Amino acid sequence: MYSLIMNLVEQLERSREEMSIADRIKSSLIPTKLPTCSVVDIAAYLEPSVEVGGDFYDLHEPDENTLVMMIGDVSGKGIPAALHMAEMKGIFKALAPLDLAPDEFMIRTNQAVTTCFEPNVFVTLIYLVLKRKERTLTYARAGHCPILHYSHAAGQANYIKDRGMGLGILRDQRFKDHVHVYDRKLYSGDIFVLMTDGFEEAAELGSNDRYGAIRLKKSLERARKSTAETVKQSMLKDFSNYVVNARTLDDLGMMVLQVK
Amino acid sequence: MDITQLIENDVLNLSIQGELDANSSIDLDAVLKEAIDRQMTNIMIDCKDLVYISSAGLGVFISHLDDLKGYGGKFVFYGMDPAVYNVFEILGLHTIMEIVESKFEAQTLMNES
Repeated sequence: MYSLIMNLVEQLERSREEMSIADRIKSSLIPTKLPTCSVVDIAAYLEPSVEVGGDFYDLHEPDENTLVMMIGDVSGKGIPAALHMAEMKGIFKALAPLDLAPDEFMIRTNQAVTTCFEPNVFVTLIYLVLKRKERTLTYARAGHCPILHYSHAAGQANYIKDRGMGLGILRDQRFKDHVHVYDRKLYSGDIFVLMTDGFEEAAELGSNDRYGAIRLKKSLERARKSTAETVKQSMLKDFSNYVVNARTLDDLGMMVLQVK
Repeated sequence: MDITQLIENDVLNLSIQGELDANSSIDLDAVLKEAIDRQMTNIMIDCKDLVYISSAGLGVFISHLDDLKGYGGKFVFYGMDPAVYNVFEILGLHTIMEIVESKFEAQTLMNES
């Protein structure tokens, strides 16, 4: 009896230690401070479905005129996905200072994923390069959820349906043909919301109903738009009202860019 | 999730019912590995009762793409719900995988190979 209790105590302590390690991994991989930018106001959110997960975002300023950003999602969940996510962050930290064009970034990252990740692991990613003086956003989408764009002039939100293959799917030269680069001018009052698929795929308990792309679009249109943070908070509130009676299936990641 | 297997004219027809999530993708992987070991490399995937596919589920198909190609085989998906097709499309898989509406079209594609 005594040894059984001691075993349980040891197991509990091990679990606590593992959870503490997971917490430290999580906090060390989330950017502690978002850069201030004269062109866009930025807010971000990351919440794994278990202790740690495969969603990630990061930002870097290679020079005064340039801000590079990425948001992504490694397939799978939990510790295995978190380990791959940490590798993705390492790849970003190595490549971001080089101020690569988005297509070059994607090609090099696909090579790294091909080398480092198992064949059943793939990554979805959006990589963006913002140029302050030119007020432009140049980006490539690698299989990630489309960008949700609110046009201040039109007063409505729409998904930008760009092409682009996920990373780690085509593990050779063929990948180059599936990388596409897009340019956007940044107009004051416009908002770009970049998300991982956990929002769209959150499902109602006991049914196949999901939060879905349309609810997200309406949520952005309804959001208070004073700052990127209020947009994020409004959208998260709308989402949390839905998930009260739902099962979340995946990690959640979001970046909001509100053009000044 | 349930998987029903049927062999017709040397083509393996896998019917997937329910949600293909992280747990059930392990079962799918085992089925596909066994099929490939048996040289059953022309595989039709009946998706009409597939209501959800997770990234882990997609990863299973992706991981066997090159294996099948190496053996001269392929996947052909059919009967896909628009929501499931959307997941394939966002990821760019619709440009490298064969996805058709009906079983008849899937059989026709298989016969062409």
